[in-house]
Amino acid sequence: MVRPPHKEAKETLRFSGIAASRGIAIGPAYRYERTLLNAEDHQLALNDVGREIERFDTAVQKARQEIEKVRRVAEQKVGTPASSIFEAQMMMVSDEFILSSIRQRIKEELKPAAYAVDFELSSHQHVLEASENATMRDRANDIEDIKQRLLRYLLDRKKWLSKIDVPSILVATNLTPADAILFARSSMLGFAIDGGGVTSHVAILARSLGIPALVALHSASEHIETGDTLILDGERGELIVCPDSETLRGYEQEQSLVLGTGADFGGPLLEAGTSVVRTADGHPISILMNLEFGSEIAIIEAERLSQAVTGTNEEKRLGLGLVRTEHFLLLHDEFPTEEEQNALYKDLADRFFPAPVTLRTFDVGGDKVLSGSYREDNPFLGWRGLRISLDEPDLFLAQLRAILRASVRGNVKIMFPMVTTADELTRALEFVDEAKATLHSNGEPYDERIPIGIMVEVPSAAILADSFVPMVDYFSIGSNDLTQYALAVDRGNDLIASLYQELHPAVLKLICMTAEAGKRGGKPVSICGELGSYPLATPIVVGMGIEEISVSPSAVRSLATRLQLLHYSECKALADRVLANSFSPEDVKRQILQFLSERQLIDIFSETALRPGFGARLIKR
Amino acid sequence: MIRQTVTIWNRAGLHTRPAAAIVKLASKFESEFYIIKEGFRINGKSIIGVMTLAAAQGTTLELEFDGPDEAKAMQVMVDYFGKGFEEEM
Repeated sequence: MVRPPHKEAKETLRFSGIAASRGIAIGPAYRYERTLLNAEDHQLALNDVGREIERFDTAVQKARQEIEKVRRVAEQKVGTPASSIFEAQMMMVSDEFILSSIRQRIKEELKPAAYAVDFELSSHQHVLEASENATMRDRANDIEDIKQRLLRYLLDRKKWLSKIDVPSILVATNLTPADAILFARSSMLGFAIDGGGVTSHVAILARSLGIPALVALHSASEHIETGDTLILDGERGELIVCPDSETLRGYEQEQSLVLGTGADFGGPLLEAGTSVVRTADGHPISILMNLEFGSEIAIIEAERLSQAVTGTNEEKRLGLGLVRTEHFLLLHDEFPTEEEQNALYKDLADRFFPAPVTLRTFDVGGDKVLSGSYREDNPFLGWRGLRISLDEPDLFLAQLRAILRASVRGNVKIMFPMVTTADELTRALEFVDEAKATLHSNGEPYDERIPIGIMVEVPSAAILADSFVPMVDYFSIGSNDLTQYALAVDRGNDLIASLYQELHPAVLKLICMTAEAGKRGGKPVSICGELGSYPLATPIVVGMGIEEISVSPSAVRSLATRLQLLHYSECKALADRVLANSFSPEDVKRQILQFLSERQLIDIFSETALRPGFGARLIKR
Repeated sequence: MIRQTVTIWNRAGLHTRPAAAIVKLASKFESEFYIIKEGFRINGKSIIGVMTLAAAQGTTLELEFDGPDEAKAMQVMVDYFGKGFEEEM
């Protein structure tokens, strides 16, 4: 079993701070330090002024694009009220009075752009920092964020890295709202910072994201190293570094209580003994979880949630709709052997039994297979996913055997990524037969009727979904890649990130085609991309007839709450209307917002990430 | 040029959200708009300026308008301050 980095026998330390967002997180520390940039003063030569102004304007332009990107991520993660923080940041970086004052300093005082930015924004920041009011002092952080963004371009520094590979608790002296949102996209379990206040924007975002957070820990971060085991207690405002095993056990128990037991979590939300939530008019939707990373902690977290739903250890109901097996690779340098893989898959199948565990075969780019200098011009259009598996029979067969051997209890499913043509699937199925034959001749047991499905993430597969129907047991829509491929947008590319629109009618039509093909052929269709947890999309996803929605564990509760408030018949009418007469994402959003506001659901659907317990209370009212 | 004194009513004070709303509101009018706090005068169409006022609950500010639509602008702005920025008091 892969385990998170673990330090031994380090002295236990306790720090008290202020709980900015409730809950308990347990996991390894990830120390994050963004060195704050300062600019140096010198005199510009007169004929450099024009170029310097130009550099400044480019920096402003880039900062705007970047904030817009963060704003869009935030809108999806935390909904409109909380994401408006970034709208305000956008206004700040577009503040003509400040910008022209900076240009004036460059032009008239012959200051370098970086220095002029630093000077101008710092002076405003200092006024706020000197305020007697804590809320106002916290706002200085927003100006700092913008200043650092501009300085980074002007001083030619590298992009900030906002990604953690192993689920961790982020520890830093301070964190900007943008950091919080971007880290939330990878696997931040919670954060603990030296600075900040309860009313700071980053604290507000933590509450919206539903992750525990501590602020005002003074100099705690100095005493913590990446990998130290931490307990972040957002109930009592305490951070425990390298706890002893007894303390750890106590907290693990408490953590499961905080997550909610059957009575206060699953009782009102999920139908007894199932993973089904019913809409207000009784239409069943099954909820599943995406397992992001192959670490012990992510698994335990998902398992706890699954357990919380039914309130028993034995009967897990909340299954895994997508296990990204390639993430197990991140912790190794090479492909794990059949035995290593089998141990991982079997462990998952056992832990979640009888709930389903959907194992997606390796979805990596060619650079991961051919170590070293293998590079492609267009990796997204290149040798990746199932294409690699089909070209590397030994690798593929080993993975398939490992999966099949883990399927004996009948709760494992296979899923193929990046399927483009029916021919590829035919070949993949031949490999499955070959793997089965090998096991059969070795006398090893496996589930003979193991369900096999495909990710629908390439437009060709959506358009010709009917051609796959006879060969699959289910479809699962990967909305992230489907959006990228349908709109020809790399969402990681800042320059065009605003074109990445999951609610684009073209994307919705592809999803609808898949849903209808599934219905015609009697094959269930699920969705496992981010669209599944995007609140505004929920009515459309339901209305298109998607039967299963797989989301990250943290999004389960809010999704279940939203589903219960909707009427399937109304969602269906909405989806029909939207698909018939929308030509832009704005058309789609407008109709959804109108739909929600007519039903007085706007607040709930924009206040995405409901806080612990909120869902249950909401239903009782 | 016209002036009017207003008070910050809401609990959180003139924080980012109302600052953004004020700037958006002010930009709809042609008139120049300044906010004066303890002799400190900032342009009401600059969000960073408005934020820098750091005006907490109970603070008194002077609003100054100058231009062809100053009366209308003042009416709208005084109204928005009077409602405590539509936030919890």
